[in-house]
Amino acid sequence: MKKNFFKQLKEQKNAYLFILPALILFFVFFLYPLFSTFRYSFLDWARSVSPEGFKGIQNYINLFTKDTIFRVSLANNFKLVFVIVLSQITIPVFLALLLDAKLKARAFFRLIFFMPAIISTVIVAAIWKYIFYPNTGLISNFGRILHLDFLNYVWLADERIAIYIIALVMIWQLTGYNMVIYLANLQSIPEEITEAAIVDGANNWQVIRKIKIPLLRPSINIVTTIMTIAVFKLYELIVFITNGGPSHTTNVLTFYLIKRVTTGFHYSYACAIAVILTLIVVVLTIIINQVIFNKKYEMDY
Amino acid sequence: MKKEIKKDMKITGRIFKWLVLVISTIFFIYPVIYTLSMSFTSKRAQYFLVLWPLEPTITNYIEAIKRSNILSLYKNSIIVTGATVILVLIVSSMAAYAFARKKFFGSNFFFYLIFLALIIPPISVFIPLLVQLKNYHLINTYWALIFPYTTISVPFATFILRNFFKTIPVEIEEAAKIDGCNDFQIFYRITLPLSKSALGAVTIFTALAWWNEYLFASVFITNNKMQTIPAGIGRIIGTYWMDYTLLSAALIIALIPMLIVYLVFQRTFIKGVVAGAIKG
Amino acid sequence: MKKTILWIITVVFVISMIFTGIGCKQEETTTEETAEEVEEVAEETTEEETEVAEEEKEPVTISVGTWLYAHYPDFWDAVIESFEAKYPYITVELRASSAETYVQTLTGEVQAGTAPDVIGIYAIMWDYLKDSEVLMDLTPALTENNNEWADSFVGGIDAHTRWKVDDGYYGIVIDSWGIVTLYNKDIFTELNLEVPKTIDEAIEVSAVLKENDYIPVALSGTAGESTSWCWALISGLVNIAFNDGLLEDLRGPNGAYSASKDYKFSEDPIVIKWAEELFKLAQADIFNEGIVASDNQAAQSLFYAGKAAMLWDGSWHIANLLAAAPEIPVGIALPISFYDNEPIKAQGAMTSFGVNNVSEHPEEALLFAKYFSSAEAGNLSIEKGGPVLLTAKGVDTSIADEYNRAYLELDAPTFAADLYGDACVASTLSSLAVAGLLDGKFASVDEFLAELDEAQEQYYLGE
Repeated sequence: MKKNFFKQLKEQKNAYLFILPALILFFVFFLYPLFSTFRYSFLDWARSVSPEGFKGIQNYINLFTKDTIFRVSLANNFKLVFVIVLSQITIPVFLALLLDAKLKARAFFRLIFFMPAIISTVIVAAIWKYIFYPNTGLISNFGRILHLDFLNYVWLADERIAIYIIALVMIWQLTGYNMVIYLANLQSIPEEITEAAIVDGANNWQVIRKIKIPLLRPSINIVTTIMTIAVFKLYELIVFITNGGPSHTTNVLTFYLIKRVTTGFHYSYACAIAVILTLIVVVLTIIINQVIFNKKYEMDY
Repeated sequence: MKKEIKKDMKITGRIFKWLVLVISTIFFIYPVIYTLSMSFTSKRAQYFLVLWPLEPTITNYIEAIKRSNILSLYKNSIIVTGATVILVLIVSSMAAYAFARKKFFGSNFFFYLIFLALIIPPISVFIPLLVQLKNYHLINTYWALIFPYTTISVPFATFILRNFFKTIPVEIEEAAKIDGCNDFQIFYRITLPLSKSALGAVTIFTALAWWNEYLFASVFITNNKMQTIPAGIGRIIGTYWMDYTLLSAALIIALIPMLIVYLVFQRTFIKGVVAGAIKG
Repeated sequence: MKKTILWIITVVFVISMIFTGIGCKQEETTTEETAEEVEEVAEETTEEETEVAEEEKEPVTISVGTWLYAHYPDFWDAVIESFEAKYPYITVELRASSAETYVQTLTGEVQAGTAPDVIGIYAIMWDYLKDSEVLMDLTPALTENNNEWADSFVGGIDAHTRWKVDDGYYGIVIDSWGIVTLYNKDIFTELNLEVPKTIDEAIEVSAVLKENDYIPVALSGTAGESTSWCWALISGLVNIAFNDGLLEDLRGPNGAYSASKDYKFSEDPIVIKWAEELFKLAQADIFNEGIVASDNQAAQSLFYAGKAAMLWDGSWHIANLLAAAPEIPVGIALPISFYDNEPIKAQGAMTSFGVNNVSEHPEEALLFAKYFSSAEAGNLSIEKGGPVLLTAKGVDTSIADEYNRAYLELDAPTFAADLYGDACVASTLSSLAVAGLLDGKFASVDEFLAELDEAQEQYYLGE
């Protein structure tokens, strides 16, 4: 009996040892800073090397009541979530369905479509910025050649359109990625189901509608979550394509946060923005997974 | 009659499908091709470029390499990403093993931790991390990036590996234990070798995430010689934005490494990405 | 097989990283070819023991931080090359960034304690640099040997007044910049026009240009250029009253150049007058459309396409501009003045170096600062298309272009004061509003001033 007990203790010790590095890293470089962000947002920290006193919720009040740029950023983030999620649960699904049938060409198209996802966002931004450049960019040149003068427009200078151009670039970057997820999901659908349906007299379209799409539910869930998080992480595209846009209209939360830090050194204010950003992301993710898709988390067994 | 209509519709359907695919291909690849062409175009002709490089020249590449430190960016990216991947594999496989095999409280706690790290964007910890790294004197060292990157990747990697480890039959390990192996030996000699595919997926997923990361990379390391590719390119864009031909050469040089890895290891890549997404 | 190769490569690099990573801070002392990298200009440290520096011949590397490399790469390369030739044991590591990222980069470095030996002082960072105590007091170095170094500057030690704190000088002026009017010589000759020197002249000339389907003036708004340009014109207001204490007002605790929370645009008489003049200009509709969204390249391309007759820009862009479109005969003239319809009497904004207080090689850094501010470097600058003017005495300006010559003929002591404050907080805040004003967005001066106040309020929400 004694032997067993000690052995068990020894095993437990090993378990803790195995976990230790992960725990240390996690606490030091993630949990503690996360808590610090929260703490700093209530302190008075601007321009100086370290915080200087208590400020309470003044930062939050300012953000929500007086800060116009914050409101624009928030609105842009939500606009983008809407556009991106909508586009990413339709277009890549469509492409995946197309590729699901073809065997030989599938690898080739998958290769091409996925490629934009592996290019660093900074590079993507630089590439697309010059495509939309007035007078000398690719789109303008197309306009010249095809005699479609409306193409020679200051796309990135239009306050209403600029944010949608960012959305377009994001779609370019991410469609292939999501398509691959859908494709994997489709390919994991057992053939017997579709064959049974065809035997029962269903044509192709019905197979798609009644069987494949419902079975895509898990990956639609995943894609929605990933895309929502991606929109709130959006940063490089804004910096390198519009830099906040024609008079602040393409600001997003991350960009505004960093702007506050680098011009103005308003650290606690920026932390408040970070806290709000984090809360929004967490809440949205929970809503998407629990409420919309009713996903039950598998607990340890 | 019906048969003919059906056949026509089928053909139209096929043409339509192929049209969509071709247009999509053009859409996804054109910008890169355009940049590639631009990098071979002379300064005078750059304003008229549509597809084929006008006045082809390789001076842009020569200038790009001479004037900016593009090639040292490669080295730094490899170091940072490589070290991160190795560290992640070590730390998370160990933790995953413990979670998979051992019973001790904290499992649910661990679950929520993973949830946090997956969802919360890195920018939320950005400012305090900056302060911390400065206090630890790690700014402008490679560790300034390796530690945060590893930390953010570990929970997810642990989760994936734990699920995978659970699928390894316990009998094998029991047998080893009877033979007198301790935990560490079991882990090292049995569990790991059996998990090659999962480890590969984690590698790909982690490498892809951090090779292209910009925010931390541009702020935590400001020494030109030590910057990673995204940070270096950001700087080059700021310096040479007026000179797009040179810039496009730099962009192409910057995206080639990952592109080559991608083309060579396609299958593993896509498998890794999918595995990562689906398990998450 | 593929995987094994990948693993091997990764392991090898991790090992090399460990060896380089741990010692990476000390890597700064290894020599690097400066031609490869963008150079950053760092502050110059002035040290007293110059004799020691000459005796010790062990190789030393100093770092210099700047945002100006991209504007004049040839000049920077030449200066560094010539400096290294003169002091063979010193190697200069240039840390260059773009103007946008310089502030961020330098802040990070100061906080981490890794600021360069010679630091380029970006005006908007002056308060921060001052407070973080990273700058060294240069007074001893300036005044030693009977003010040898101080006297080599046009204006003597007073040239550095802008960087004076209490009784010490913490920065030295290196060069002086100005805003310019670039004009298309062909268009002006064709229409028999003279380059405008005052607001009224500008409006007259623009009327003629518009009749002939030219855009009178191209101006960019996104990079803050319109602000620089327009804000700089406030200095024109200081022209006549230069000795009248107006400059002190501007710089005072509640002046426009201060970063005071209590400052209010709409209550500042200087700003009100400036706004009224700008409004006149805006109403004459002489600019390209959509200034708010035109960046530098957009405005310049209008000029080079021959569509715009004038381009209002800064002298820091001249070299790049001239290189970009050699086909157009470009003339460079002094900017218009905003005060009482008289031609401009003074202008100048300086960039300067400071020296890192905790530099490991202060003497060498000082040597660099001295060399960079010498007449020799000044001549090199003019020869290589460098910055407009250096502040050193004895620079041979006979080969200077028309702008430089005109600039030299201004009689106000332009180096003795930073007349622009163009990088001050107030100018950054007004950037968008000014661009909007010139785009015709505001119906009255009061609306414009209200917008300025609004921007001010938004900014200080964070403090």
